[in-house]
Amino acid sequence: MREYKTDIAGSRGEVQEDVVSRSQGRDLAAFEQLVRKYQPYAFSLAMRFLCDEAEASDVVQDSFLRVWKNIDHYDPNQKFSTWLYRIVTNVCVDRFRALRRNRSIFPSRERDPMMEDLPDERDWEISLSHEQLADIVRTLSKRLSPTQRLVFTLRDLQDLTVAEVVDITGLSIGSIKTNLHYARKSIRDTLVQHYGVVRGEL
Amino acid sequence: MSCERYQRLLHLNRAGEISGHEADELRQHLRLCEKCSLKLQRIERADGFIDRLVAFSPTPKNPEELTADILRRVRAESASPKPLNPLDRVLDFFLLPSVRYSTVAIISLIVLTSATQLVMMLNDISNLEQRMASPVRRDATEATYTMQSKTLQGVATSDRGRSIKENLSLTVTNDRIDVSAKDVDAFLSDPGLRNLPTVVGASVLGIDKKTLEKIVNEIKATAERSFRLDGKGA
Repeated sequence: MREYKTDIAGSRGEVQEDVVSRSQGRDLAAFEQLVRKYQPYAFSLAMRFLCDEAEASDVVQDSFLRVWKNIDHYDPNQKFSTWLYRIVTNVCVDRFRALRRNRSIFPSRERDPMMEDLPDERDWEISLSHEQLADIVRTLSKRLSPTQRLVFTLRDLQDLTVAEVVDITGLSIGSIKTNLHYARKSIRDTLVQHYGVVRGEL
Repeated sequence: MSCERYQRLLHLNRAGEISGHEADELRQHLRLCEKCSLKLQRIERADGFIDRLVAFSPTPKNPEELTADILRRVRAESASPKPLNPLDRVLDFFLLPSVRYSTVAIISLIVLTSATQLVMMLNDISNLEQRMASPVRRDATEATYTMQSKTLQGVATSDRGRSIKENLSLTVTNDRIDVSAKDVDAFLSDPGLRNLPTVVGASVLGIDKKTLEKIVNEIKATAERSFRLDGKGA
């Protein structure tokens, strides 16, 4: 039986062809398998991008509903996970823009990042809660454009390859590198400014 | 090469996004440049935090509930009637009795109007063919040359001009001179008459050769053939 390639970072494992093709035939049990398999990766991406658990859950629901509605258009020659990630990122970016317009989650980019939102260095060693993670990413990426934020999330936080980021975003390699450069520079500068160059320096 | 470029390479070097050649260049530069070495230290320090963000994978607090929510929405979507495609919507619209009868009436009206116009057009073509086949070329007989010659107008309005108008059947007004095309055609087709202006001008009308040439040149420059069909200007 043919196996779908699903080597997107984090989504290790295999999806059997018949699970997708049965889902295309409107088999809810097969679709449930897909949801159970990919839901954690979709949530992880949405959470890292939006920094809000409720919003991330909504995005995951909307994304899978969109998958269900459009599964007939899925091309089996591409990785299912790449197709899913593309849908999740589109929903995320739409939601991010809407939230930023309302400024309910993301205040104006003109405001300086709130450095006090970054946890003490010792907290990083233990474990981060959802809230802490959200605060950290929100603070670090406050100055980034949606594209810089998306590329950084996919490449550096989700650990996808550049080729996968190209497939998901549709951006050119040059554009991805430029956006990555600015995103990393901004985030690294913020981290070093807060925590110092060497441990205990500040 | 400037430090700015190397610092860009430093930022891109996190996961091998630079080429082997660029990596070699960067290594050599770092051995010599203290500023960029400090930059590398800062980047490595910051990446320690980013790596911990990567290692932490956020999961939903209640994955089962999230799965249930997704499937509930999918079932609701499946239960609701599938929206018709645009073609089906159009076809359904035309199945409504009122729309059906109105459509038939409109189409009948269009067909009737088109047929009437076609019959009228064929009738016009037939009339035109009959007129084209007629042996009488009305335009040839009733055509007129209109021309302007201030010299001839001056001569024609003088006393001696009366004989010019009588001899040449000219109609002279303030702004133009009309002459029958039939006379002109006859004049042009008869070699004997071509000398008439010279004869008339020089001996009968008493116009000198220079004036006559001026008149001829003005007429050549302004003559326009126009037609009068059934007494109406065309």
